[in-house]
Amino acid sequence: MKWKSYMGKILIIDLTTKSYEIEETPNELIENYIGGKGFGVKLYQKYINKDTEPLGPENTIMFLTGPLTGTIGPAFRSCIVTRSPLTGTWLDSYFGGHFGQEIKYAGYDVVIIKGKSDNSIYITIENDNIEFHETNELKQKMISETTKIIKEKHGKDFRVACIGPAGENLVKYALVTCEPMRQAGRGGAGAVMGSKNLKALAIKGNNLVNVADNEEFLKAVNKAYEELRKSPSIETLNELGTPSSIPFAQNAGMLPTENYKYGQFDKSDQLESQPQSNAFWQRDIACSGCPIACGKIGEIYKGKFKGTISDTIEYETLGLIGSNLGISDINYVTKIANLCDELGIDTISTGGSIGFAIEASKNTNLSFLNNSDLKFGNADTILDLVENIAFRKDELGNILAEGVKRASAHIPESKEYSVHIKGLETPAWPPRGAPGMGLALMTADRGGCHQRAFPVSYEAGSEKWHGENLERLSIDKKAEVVVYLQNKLAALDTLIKCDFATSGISEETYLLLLNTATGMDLPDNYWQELGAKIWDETRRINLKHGFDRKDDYLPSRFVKEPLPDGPAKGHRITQSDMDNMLDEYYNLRDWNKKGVPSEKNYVKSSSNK
Amino acid sequence: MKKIVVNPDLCTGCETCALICSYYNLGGFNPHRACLTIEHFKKGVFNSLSFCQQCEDAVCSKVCPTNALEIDREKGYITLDKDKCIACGNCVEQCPFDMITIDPDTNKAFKCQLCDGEAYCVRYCPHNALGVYKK
Repeated sequence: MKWKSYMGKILIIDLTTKSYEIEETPNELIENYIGGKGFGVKLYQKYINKDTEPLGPENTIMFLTGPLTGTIGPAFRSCIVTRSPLTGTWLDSYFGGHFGQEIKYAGYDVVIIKGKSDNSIYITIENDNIEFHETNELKQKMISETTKIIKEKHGKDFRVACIGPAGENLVKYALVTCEPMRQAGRGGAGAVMGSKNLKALAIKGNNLVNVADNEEFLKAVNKAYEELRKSPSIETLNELGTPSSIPFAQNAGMLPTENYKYGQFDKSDQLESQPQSNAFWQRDIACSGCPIACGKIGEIYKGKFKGTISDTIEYETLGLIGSNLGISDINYVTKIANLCDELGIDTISTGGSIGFAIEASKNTNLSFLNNSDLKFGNADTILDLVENIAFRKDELGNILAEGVKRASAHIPESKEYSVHIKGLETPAWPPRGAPGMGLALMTADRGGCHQRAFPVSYEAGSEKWHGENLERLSIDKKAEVVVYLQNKLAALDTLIKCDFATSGISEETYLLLLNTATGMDLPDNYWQELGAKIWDETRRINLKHGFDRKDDYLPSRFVKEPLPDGPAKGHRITQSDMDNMLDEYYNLRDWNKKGVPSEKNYVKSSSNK
Repeated sequence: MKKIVVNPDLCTGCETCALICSYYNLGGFNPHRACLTIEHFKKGVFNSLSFCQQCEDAVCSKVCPTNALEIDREKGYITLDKDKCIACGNCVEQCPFDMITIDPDTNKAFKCQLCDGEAYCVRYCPHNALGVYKK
């Protein structure tokens, strides 16, 4: 291999013919796109075209690693790229855990799966030995049971990625769980696997991931460790996990409550870290090679759900299943989240869909919404509804399994409170009170997502932009911040970074890790250019699928209804705010007024040392 | 003799110990190639880690036909001389803790020698779950 830390091979599996081929990872791809999301944008355009049906046999699902995945470099992950059945466009969905690392140990940089099996199967990959197996005993099995059966059969060293019943039942926001308990959660990659009759992938291998400069790489790793140790936000994550964002969001008036109607929840204190810790936390859990250990795991100690094993109920889930559905009892939130995990559905889209249904039930007389128990805070009914969605058991479950956008089409006059962007239900960071966050959600390449840029820390937190505090409710400079953050994060998603680690590890250290691992000699300003290039590519993919400026707007709730509570009470993001921010944003990206990127000549920055 | 001990309560399952182990001993990363093993969720939500016990009266050293494995009481661990190893597998078969393997690349016995006393797994564990116990 010209470049170290890559495995040099791409495994391409065709489910239709139950065959596979192995290709070399092209140097050209490595040198221009590094890995992860970068590989994803190029391979997406190679394998998926405008007419590819997301749930048709021609759709392709890819499991991608980055050059640092599988090394001791702190907190590197993997991702899935496919055409989303929920949005109909580009989907990149990231996961931690150990599965992605195992792809590299088996000898591959990427595993690509295309075609459709005529019977339900799972695949085992052990180095170059690829086998297809019948899944009779796994059909409609929960995630943990599926993983357990496969490991019992093939060996505990295998790492499993699988779907639950929701994926098999083609729920549009079904996820893929990557062992242990780490999900490629958003956008419905689980339904793509389900549509291919692929229940699981199990993988293991004995290849070593070698780096270019052993001594310098370890120095870079130690530097990254040091930066993580010095970061107060990393310390908070280790101690309290992501639930530590609950008091921040509550105080900022940005905690989604009752289908995003409100920005504060009167019982938010019950969703903070301490009640969760009291209910079940027993030890810290970390992904491969990660010193942060944001995860907390344990068994619910007492009460109705005693014995339920759960990982941390993350902030997003607390927001969407907790406050957004009016549920404050942490045992119930944990149980509902656990059920979503076992069935294999995204808690964000589930919470968004159910919140929408509850609001709709107040406003219409449609028979499938005629249920007096369907209300905010009624956790038992919501628990049942989650199962009805995953198994498409009744009319309401079946409609909600399609996501908010499609469900809204069944319910007259519901557009005003249907909350999604490009068909993806929004996360637990509603943007009223932070217009920069609004722009980040509007322009996120896969639809309503907070992980492509998170300007909230500049708007309502303590981050400074070029040494200055940004005015929270103003739109001034917000486009600049969003473009910078999107570029940076997309570039680091070629590695593939963990979002949390970026609050400790500097851009300079990420570059040092990459250069010492691969043997490249990339310049200091590399990340912004790489990110801008990737952002142009995902935009072109969106345009190809018919998404353009018209799809870059916020849902009505954030535009027409002033925020009723919190410090930003009365704020909304107006049509002209959105237009002005979009004009500035497109301009900074050198996209025209319709959001079409200009042709640019990006300099290939990789070179031999 | 010295041995590596673990506090399972502090182990996060990050495998940093196994990653640094394979890196130091084989020059690349793969936790399956380490001379320690981690079984995630072996005991409820807790992990189980196994290390070479550096036995006082080590069976491996007794069954080795070429004296490649020797008890070194001064260093505090069982030393392995790879040049003498003929990969007969006797040690692998007889180790009561399954802590010796034949490495597929080198075709030589592979066991923990405390990184020549440096014990990098202990040093790199981000949560201080590992320590060196000396009797």
